[in-house]
Amino acid sequence: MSALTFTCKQKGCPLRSGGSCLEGFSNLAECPHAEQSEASGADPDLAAGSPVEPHRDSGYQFHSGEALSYEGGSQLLKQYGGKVVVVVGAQWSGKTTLLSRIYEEFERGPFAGIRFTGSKTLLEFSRRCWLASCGSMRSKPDTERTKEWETDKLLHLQVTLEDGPSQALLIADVSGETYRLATGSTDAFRKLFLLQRADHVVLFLDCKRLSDLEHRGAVESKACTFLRLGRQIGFLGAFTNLTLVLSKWDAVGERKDNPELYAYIEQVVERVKSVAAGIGEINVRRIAARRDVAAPWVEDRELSELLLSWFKPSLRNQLQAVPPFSSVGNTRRMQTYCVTND
Amino acid sequence: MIEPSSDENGLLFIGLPGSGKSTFLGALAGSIEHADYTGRLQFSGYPEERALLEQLITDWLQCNTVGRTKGQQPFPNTLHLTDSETGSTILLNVPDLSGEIFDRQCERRDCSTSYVEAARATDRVMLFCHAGRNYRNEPIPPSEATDDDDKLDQLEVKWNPEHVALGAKLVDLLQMLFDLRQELPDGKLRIALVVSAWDILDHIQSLVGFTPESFVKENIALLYQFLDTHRDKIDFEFFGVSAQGADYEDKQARKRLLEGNPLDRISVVQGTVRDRDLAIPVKWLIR
Repeated sequence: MSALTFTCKQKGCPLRSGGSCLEGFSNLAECPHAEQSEASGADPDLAAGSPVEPHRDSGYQFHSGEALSYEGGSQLLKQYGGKVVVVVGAQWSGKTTLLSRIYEEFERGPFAGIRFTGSKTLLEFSRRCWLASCGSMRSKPDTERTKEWETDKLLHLQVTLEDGPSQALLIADVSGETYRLATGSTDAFRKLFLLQRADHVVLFLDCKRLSDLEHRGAVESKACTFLRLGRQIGFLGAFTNLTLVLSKWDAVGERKDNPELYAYIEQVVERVKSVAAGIGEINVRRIAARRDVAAPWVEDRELSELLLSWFKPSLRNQLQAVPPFSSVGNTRRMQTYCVTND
Repeated sequence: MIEPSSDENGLLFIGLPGSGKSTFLGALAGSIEHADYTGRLQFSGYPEERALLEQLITDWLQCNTVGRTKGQQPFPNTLHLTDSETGSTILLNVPDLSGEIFDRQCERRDCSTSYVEAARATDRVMLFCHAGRNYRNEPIPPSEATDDDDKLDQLEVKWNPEHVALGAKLVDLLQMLFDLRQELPDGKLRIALVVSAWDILDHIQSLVGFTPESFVKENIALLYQFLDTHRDKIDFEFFGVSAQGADYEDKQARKRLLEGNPLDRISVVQGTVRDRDLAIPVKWLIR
């Protein structure tokens, strides 16, 4: 008897190639684009009159090209070793733009002395870069928003540093919505257990919002709450390598024209750092991730140095006592993900 | 899919649609059969079904643009050649002349059993890419960005897997080839990367240091890095190939080509060395 399965009417939905629902529905019956069908090879492209001819057989199913599950990422770490980076911050703070920019740099050649050696998530990178490309026909660049469900997914870049061995770089792009929920509830924060496993945590402070009298307080407040909760729960600590990214740095203008804003941002950084006391290492980067930003006060090396910093030896391996993963609740899942890095 | 016999050198042709496979094959077959051909390759036997191959040869001889080869079956998936100097035999395995199956592989993430067999049957690959394509999705330049986006952005094109940049698709195809071959005994893959329509770069070929390799390094950087970082698994070489000789839309150039010897249209660049034998990448693969 054929099993019931779901296909999707919406072009570009990962569900069509075996991935997850583009709209984020875990119960596919609730998605307005999903169609239930018998698993008998029914093909939405053919139904839509696509010119793609069906294979008479499907001899081999490749990796999906979409973002990886934790289990998929874990396999790569076991095979190659590598680093886990968690990127967090409010909606529109520029997280996905930064990750897209790093991928685009590799499309142009080695970046920061790092060479691209492959990726299991090429489709996902393409999707995220699309709205900033000419092909999207948009009037100005944008970035595909990270869906809440994508928080449990990983982007993958396989890279080599100079002539070193190939290693996996796995990046969790935590959605702005998840960040908002996590700072509003300890229970929601506990879902970010990957923070405890991360070799590097990147917290975004949106400088466009810090330049805005109405929004600047909330940016600082959320960041401080996030760090306090992380320390309190034990997801962040002496084992954490944290970078505060002052994103959209092009929005702050020249220092000589905006001395008060510069002074304010420096104060915010100091206050956030004081809340983060006890965290192993804290660095600050001033980054404008959009390509071709013509602002003399934006230094491109900040981006390359950020990327390079992700490959520094993990603080976790330098410490004697690190909180056990089992303390986070989802023991089975974390055990699956517990792999040695260095 | 026919597999090469034990004494036969199998070569697998891979390339996305419009990458120059058809023109290459038409010119290769046409030149081998030409009376003035002095190279080493010859057919070891004509394929039974050769209507499309004949059409490709005719198009090449008459300076006609080769139409999209999608659906124009039957094309012999395999061509048997002999190297007259060494006596070695060569099986050119062309799973899909149109390149549709390679697009499909990238978009639908699967392939047929016959392709699996072809990929596992040889460790020699001819990978095609066209010199005139853009291999990245270019970002919107800031100078063209406007804030009047409400109306314009109604035209926004939603992403789908077809939009993956060609450079990423080529990397994807090679990663998939690795996946298919992962259970085979260790052995290096040999890849001849053919940059087709090399003649369209004539205006910059005189630049010092400009080679097919430097073209790929600059324009398909993702692919170049992939190859460069897998030297332990891949032997590779770059060839700039001009099989047409010029753009047929240019009537004067086309007339000039028709007046001359068809063999003179061919140009193969390896490093900084130029030759007129399309068999050079084939011979590099089977050496």
